[in-house]
Amino acid sequence: MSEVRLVNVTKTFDAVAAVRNLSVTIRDGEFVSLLGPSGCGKTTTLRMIAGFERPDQGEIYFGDEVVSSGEKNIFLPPEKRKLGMVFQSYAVWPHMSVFDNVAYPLRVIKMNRGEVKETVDHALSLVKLEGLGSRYPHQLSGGQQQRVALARALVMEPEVMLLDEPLSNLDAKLREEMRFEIKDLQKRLGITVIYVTHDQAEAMVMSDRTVVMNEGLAYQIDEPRKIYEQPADRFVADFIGLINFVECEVIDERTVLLKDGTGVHKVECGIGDFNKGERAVLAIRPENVSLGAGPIRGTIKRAVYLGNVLDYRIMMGKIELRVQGEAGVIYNEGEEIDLAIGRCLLFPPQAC
Amino acid sequence: MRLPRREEISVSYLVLGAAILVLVILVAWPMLLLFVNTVIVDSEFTTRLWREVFTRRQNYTALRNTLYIGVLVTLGSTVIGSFFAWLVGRTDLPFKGALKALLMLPFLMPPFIGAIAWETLLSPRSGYFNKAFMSLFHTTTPLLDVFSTWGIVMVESIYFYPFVFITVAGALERMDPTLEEAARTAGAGMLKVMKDVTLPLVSPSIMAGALLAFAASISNFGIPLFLGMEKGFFVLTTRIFIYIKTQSASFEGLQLGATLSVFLLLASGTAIILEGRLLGGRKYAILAGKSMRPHIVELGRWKPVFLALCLVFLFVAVLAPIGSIYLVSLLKVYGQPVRWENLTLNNYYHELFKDSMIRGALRNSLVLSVAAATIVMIVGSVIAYVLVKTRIKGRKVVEFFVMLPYSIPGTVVAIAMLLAWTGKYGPNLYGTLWLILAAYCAHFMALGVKSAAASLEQVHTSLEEAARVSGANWLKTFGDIVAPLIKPGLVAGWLLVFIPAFRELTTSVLLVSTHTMTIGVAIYNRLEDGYFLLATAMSGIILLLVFVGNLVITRVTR
Ligand SMILES: Nc1ncnc2c1ncn2[C@@H]1O[C@H](COP(=O)(O)OP(=O)(O)O)[C@@H](O)[C@H]1O
Ligand SMILES: [Mg+2]
Repeated sequence: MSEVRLVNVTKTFDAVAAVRNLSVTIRDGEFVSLLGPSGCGKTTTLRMIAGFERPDQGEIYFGDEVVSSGEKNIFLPPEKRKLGMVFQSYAVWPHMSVFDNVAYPLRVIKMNRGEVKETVDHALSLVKLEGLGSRYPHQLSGGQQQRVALARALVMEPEVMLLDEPLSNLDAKLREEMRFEIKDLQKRLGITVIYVTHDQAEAMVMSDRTVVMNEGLAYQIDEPRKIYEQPADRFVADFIGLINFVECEVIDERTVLLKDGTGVHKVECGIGDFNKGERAVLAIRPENVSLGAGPIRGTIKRAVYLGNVLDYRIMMGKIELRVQGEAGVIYNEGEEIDLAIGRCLLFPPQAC
Repeated sequence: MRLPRREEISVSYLVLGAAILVLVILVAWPMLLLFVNTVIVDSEFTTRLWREVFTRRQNYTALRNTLYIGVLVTLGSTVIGSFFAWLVGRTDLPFKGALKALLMLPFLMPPFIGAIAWETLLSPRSGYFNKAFMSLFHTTTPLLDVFSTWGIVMVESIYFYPFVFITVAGALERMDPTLEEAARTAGAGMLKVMKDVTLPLVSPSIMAGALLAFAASISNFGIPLFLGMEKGFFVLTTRIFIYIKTQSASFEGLQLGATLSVFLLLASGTAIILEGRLLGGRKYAILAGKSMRPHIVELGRWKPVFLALCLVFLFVAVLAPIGSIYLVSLLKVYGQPVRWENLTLNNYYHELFKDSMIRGALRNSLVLSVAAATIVMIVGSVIAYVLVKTRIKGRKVVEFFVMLPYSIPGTVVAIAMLLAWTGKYGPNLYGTLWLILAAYCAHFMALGVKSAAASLEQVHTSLEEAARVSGANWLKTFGDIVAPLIKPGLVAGWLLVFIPAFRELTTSVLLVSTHTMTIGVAIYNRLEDGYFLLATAMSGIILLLVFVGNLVITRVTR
């Protein structure tokens, strides 16, 4: 029932295609993130699910019920969709107390006073705001306002919750804390969550699956681990985590050839659909280069101590590689070292 | 399945349609008639009116006077306004808050009451400043004759410099101080930073303020009426007034007035459009969103000098006229020295309780201003909602018609109303309050829309959307969320319309009849009939009301 299904959804503003032909099914009880750079259409997608935007084309289903259909001219307004929603700006009403903010959805359905009190108190305790009901929003910190917004979204016990970058206005430490609290709430209450963020770490930590978006298109819909280890294309690989791209040529089923301007290196790599002799781009994550031994020789250009790891920029002929090494062994700037390239991926040359 | 969102869209189109209808009746139709009537006489196309207007020497003179005064007032206002804006905005002058509030006072003063006030100070024989000057220097030539071109220029500059002061002070406040700090770290001294960074960045705002002052000067009627007519000095607005009054009841006179007013319209319209361009184009480039600590210039040993300058200006230009008008209103006979035995409250008593004409005028002005403020705020909020919160087509057209009368001088609005609603093209409203009400609504609509739009823009859309996902429909959201949040803004907007409408002169002077006298026109009549003391008493009452009203506005919007 609380499955949310988008089928070929498209939305265009004037000349801007905000969302293009998006299809995704969010399963009951699943935590799905919409991840992508700013302006890629995440908020628009969320707002179409909430009923604040009408899709130009395509359909949106809640369970078996069509709630939006461009073709059939069906459109259920937001107040009938029974969703919980948390806005990026919190949207806590400044003229109402915390209690009244959270009670509002209950009062709309004319719940009796005793029940309202009980339900609101429960919601406030879920977000750890017990006893702050009589405060007004301007007397709360950003983090507390955030919790009020969360309580208001939860109070009707919706089966589906929508959150639009709810943590982006909080400081780093609080953000970290809230990630776990939101995730924890979602698990305890068993609700379906659609979560918009531009922060890949947030998406990685919280989601069951992530939709990576760019320019209105869904580039990949997968579990976080798959997205990191098997990115569908160069954009996804580049957007998630750090990665080096190096031009190369396919020489046989297991090997590609790198030219670094001074010499050539053979690197082992599964070539997938590529043909022998074709040009390609080799993608290497910084942690997949091992330092100290190997067939390739490089020079340390920069070494930056990051606490748990050392971040190196290594010149391999004219190619610069970003590599992360254990903090146990420290190489100095200017030092020459041997290195080996481990796991890597191949992408077509122009794609980006 | 039902389609409530569709219904909602058609509701907003319906509302928009009603708003457009109101605007057509109040603005578009009268303005169309204004233009048509300059070229059509007795249903035939003719250029006779234009030729007649052009061949009259007095019209040339009036046009030349208007521009001459306008340019001088613009210069005066710009110098005074920019200087004080910088002084209270960017220096370490003490008591800046209080000084700023006092420097804004002339903005609240109705210009025609300002003219009366300055008459009490600078009339050639009996003005207090002139008398003091002549006895101090044993001379018979006055310091400045208020009934002269320079008198008019000075009085207008004092009442119109706040346009420059407000725009420049605002720009200085919002300017990102790091821009100036960057120049300081690059090695530029305080004066050099002001010349190379501050001044170029605020110059669009100075220009914009100057254009507003220019538009205010050329559309002003009260000051040249009270200070210029005495010596036969005419500007466009007073010239149009003469056309209507001397040839009253003749449609021909009205048409000649309309033809002349097209000039006025073009001049002030151009100024207002240029002003919009200036601020629209560059505003966002230099302004940072948050208010930050401004870059403060230390005056050092010049501080007492600047402070003294500021206080002298405030005393002479701002406080003395207000004090003087109250002083004179308490005299038994105009010209008497101010001594205890010469003082009386009789002028006030007479104006408030004795005279049925004044009582009628007070009642009319009250009814008109309450009705106009209420209508304008209701229609204005609806229009503002459509403009700010919806994306429906056609809202740009509405915006144009709303903002149109904002740039139209009151004199022109009155003539358009006379053309449209005195029987020739429909109902004859002459002699009724409806005619004046229609004019007020047209004239103040933009003010209403602007203040409603300003409060609506404060209500972030997500606040409404949060109510929608909570299960409230559009109407309930409006009632529970939008209405309470914009209420203070609407109350302030209501007063912003009510106050100037209550003491209105320019428009109503052309529209009143014996039974529809307004308080502004009553004061004019008092002066015409030679009851100067009664006019000052009435002005004192109006000023009190204006000041109290503005206190309420600052209270509710804080
Ligand atoms: N109401 C709107 N009118 C016009 N363009 C819009 C509107 N909302 C979003 N857009 C455009 O659609 C694109 C996607 O916006 P959005 O969904 O807000 O991106 P994101 O949330 O991923 O940052 C952007 O290019 C944005 O400018
Ligand atoms: Mg967004």
